Order: sequence, then structure tokens, then C-alpha cells
Amino acid sequence: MLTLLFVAFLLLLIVGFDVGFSMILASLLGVLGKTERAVDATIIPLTMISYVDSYALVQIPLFILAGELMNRGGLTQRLIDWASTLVGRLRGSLGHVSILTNFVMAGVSGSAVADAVATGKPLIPAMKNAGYDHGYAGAVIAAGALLGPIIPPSIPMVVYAQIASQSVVKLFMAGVVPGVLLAAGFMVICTLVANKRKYPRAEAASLREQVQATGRAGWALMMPVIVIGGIRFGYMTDTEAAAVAALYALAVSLLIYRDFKPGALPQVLAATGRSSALILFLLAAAGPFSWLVAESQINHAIVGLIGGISTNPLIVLLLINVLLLIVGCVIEPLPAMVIFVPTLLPLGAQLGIDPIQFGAVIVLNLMIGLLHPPIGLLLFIVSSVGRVPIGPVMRESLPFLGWAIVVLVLAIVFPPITTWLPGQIR
Amino acid sequence: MHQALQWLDRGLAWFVAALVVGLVTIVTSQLVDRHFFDIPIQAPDQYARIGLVWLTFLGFALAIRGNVAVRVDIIDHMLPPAARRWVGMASDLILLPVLCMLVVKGWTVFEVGSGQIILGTPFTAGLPNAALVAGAVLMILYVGVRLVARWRGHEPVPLEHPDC
Repeated sequence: MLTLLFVAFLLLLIVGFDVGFSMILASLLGVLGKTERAVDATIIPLTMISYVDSYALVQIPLFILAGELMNRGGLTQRLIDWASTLVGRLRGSLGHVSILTNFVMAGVSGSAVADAVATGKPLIPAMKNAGYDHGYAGAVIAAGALLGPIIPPSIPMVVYAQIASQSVVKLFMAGVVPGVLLAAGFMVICTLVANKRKYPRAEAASLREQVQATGRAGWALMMPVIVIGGIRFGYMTDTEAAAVAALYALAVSLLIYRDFKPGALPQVLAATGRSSALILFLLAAAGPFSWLVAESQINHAIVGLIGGISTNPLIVLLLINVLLLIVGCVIEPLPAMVIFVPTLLPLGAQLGIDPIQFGAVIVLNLMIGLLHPPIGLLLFIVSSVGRVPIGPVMRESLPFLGWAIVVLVLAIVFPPITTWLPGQIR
Repeated sequence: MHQALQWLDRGLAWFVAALVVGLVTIVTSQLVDRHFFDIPIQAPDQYARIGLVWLTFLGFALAIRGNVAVRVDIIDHMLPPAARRWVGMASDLILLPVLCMLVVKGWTVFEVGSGQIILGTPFTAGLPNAALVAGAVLMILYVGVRLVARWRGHEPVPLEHPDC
């Protein structure tokens, strides 16, 4: 039965069937083929509904809405302008601007795809016009967007928290240090590449211009402070912070920047609903699939297999990460998470691995999948948004990918990287 | 037929937009209730959960209508357009019975839920459970329309934004 389940699932995935429906259909075949302790197929809709009937998941549409409003309301553009005045004097400054803008945006949106589109649209053509290699222009945007789901708030962290029954806030905080390490390393890579290729530098902005740009972007810069500060100091819950972020972005867009027309709001709301449903439906579909995997006791098989190689938590965590990096080559991060996390959780618990570190490492690992071929989603997005051939983007993304893997290994080997900050929360 | 479909698309997009507004309102009301003044809603989190379940299934119907999907597209690059169209049609044909199963079995879940009260609300668990049935019915309609379009040689193109 288990073999049938996975063969059906893989086959459907390969022929390009929707990932959610692949899980549902494979589960249906699994239920129909289950001879021992047979169950009715009613379990499928039942588990689908129960998997999304959760208050914690409400923040997914709310953070997506905040990101949409930031992009349409001119907040993102002002962040780009601000970053340009701040780091414009550096050689290859547009690369640094990309990383810095994404770093700030990551503090609000939580979605790598939204960030890549928002920053890629203005910055890739600007980099191409300034004489940067086209592949590099795409790669640096993709790398910057990778920060979105690592630095809080993070939609994948919310999904993980839901599956693993962990604190969303602690998981959010676990992403801060790896996110800072990633951003710092990406900036160093930008500097090295720019110096080697003699990319141009913009005229240095005067202190007065920097202050003016900061003032103009002030409302946008306040967003991460409100979201992260509000959660950290207990003034609002993570879900409430998402609603506040959306309302704040709407108010600033409409009343202060006035770049957003109220008539566009229904379209933004419907687009938000649609984007959210893509993630939520995936989770719903994971319900029956996870149930069947648990029923089949595949986790015991995997625990046995990896446990047979080593019982050292560090080695096991490294093995799991190698497995997930391979998985990330063929399956997108969120589907991979909903498929594999329920299976891997008992293994982590059995070996005494901190569940927050486990979650942060798994999220970091699977997000790296956004950046590596053959299906690195961010690579395709920047290629499409910036009209850049995919081959050079993949090649130029390798140094960024390399650093992301180094940060992943650091997070595995030194648990405080992911556990110290969450440990400060009472 | 075409006009009716357009009305349905618009109605669905507006309903999904209204659900998002509802979620923002409910969640914000909790913050207001705690820090500013009392809002006489007994269990706002329950309302938010109901809204989220409806958003999941109706929003996904909207995604199917817009030809947006989360899928592995490695094979797309290897196949000629005609073969891609046949694979797409085969996928839709497989999808239809799965969706019909969701309607039939989802109806049972709806009936069972109709007898269970959601505490703090005037509703029963039938309300969130009905979302799956409603969403699956819409998905059947949209997949059917897509199948006919493919049969006529029109490969669906992803829509950037829903029509609102």
C-alpha cells in the first residue's frame, strides 16, 4: 500500500499534476488499497478541513496582503531609494541595494516570491543598464529574496509551527541570526564580485540626501519595527501583528504616499486570497497524506534507516539535511515541508534535538531549495521578471547558494545560532 | 454561457476579497478589544477559522480559474506543445473524478458537522465543512471549462490578477 502511495504520488508529480491534488489522489489510492484496518474515503475531506481549520494560519493571508500593499503602494520603491542613498557609493552598489532592501522587506512580507517580484522589477533593468552581467543581476535579486522566509515574519515558519505544534513566535526569532548571517555574507559576495568585475559605483549621497531619503522611507522602515517589536514585547500576537502590518501598509499607501488608488483594493484583496489559497490548499492536501503516512508507520522505517547509520544527533541532523537538499532539487519548499516534516519530527524528538533548532534548520534548508537548480523557484521568477536567460542566473547564483549552505551547516553545528534568541522569550 | 461564467468569476473574486477583509477585521477586533474597548463578540477566533477554511477552498477555485497552480514543470520543457496539451487534458480528466469524490465524501462530512455546535457562535461545524463542497463544485466547473478549451486547442494562460 505504501509503495503504491509513493509511486502514484511521484508519477503524478513528474507529469506535472498539481502538487496538492497529487497528494489527495495518492491518499485516495492509499485509502482504497488499505486492506488492514480499512477506512472510508471520508477521512480525506475530514483531514483536509481539519488541517486548515487553525487560527495560527490566519496570518498567512494577512502577511501576503501586507506585502501586496507594500509593493503596490510605493513602500517598496521608497525602501529601494533609501538603500540606494545609503550604499550607493560602494562599487556595484545596486547589488547591495538589492540585499539591503530585501533585508528590510523581509521584516514584513515573509514571502520570497513577493519580494523577488517587487525588487526585481525595478532593480534588474537598472543593473542591466548600469553594465552589470545580466545573470548576476538576476542572481543577486534571487539571493536577496531568499531572506524573506528566513527573517521574521515567515510563512514557512508558520506552516512548520502548525505541523509540529511549536511556538510561531519562537520559530520567528530562530530565523533572525541565520537571516543576518545570510545577508552579511551576500553583501560580502556582492563586494567581491563588484570589485573583480569593476562594476560602477553611484555618486556618493550627501548626509543631507541620506537624511531626506530616510525621512521619505521612514513610514516603510517603521513596518518591521512595528511587527517584530509588537510581537517581541507582547503587545500583540503574531496573527494580530499581521493584521496591523496590512492595515498600516494600506494607511500609508492611501493617506501618506498616495501611490495607491482605492479602486485597486478589491483586486489586491482577491489576489491576496488567491495566493493564500495556493499555500493553504497545499496544507489541506497534506492532511490526508500525512495521516496515511502516519498510519503506514513510514516514520518508523525512516527512523530505523537513519538511526541505523548513526544515533549521534549531529550526524543525524546532517543526514536529514542532505536528504532535504536532495528533495529540494525536485520538490518546492512548502510541499516538501508538508510531506517530510511529519515524518522527520519523531526522529528529531527521539534523538533529543531542540524542536526550534530542528524547525529553523529544516526551513532554512528547504528555502535554499528556492535558489538551487533544477527547480529553484526564485531563479525562474527573476529570470521571468527581469527577462534574463535562466542559465547565467543559475551560474551566478552559485556563490550565494554556497554561502547559504555554509550558514545552514553553521546552524546545524552551533545550535545557539537558532536557539539563543528564542530562549530569551518567556 | 460565457456571460454567466464571467458573472460567476466576478462574484467569486469579490467573495474571496470580502473574506480577506473579514479576516483582517476579526483579527484587528481582538487587538482593539484587549487594548482599547470591549467588542461584544464571544469567540472571534472561531469566526476567523471559519473564514480561513472558506478562503482556502474558494480561493483555490479562483486559482484554478486563473490557471495558477503549484506544480513541478520539468516535463513541460521537454514536450512539444501538442503533447503538453494532451498531458494537460489527461490531468484534467483525472482531476474531475477526484473532485467528484471530494463533493460526495465532503457532503457526508458536512452532514456530520451540521449536528455539532461551534461554541461561542450561532453556527455548526457544517458551515466550515460546507466550504470544501462549495469549493470542489466550483473547481469541477472550472476544470470542465478548461478541459473544453484545451480540447478546442486553447492552452490556458495563467492570469496575473483575478478579475474584480
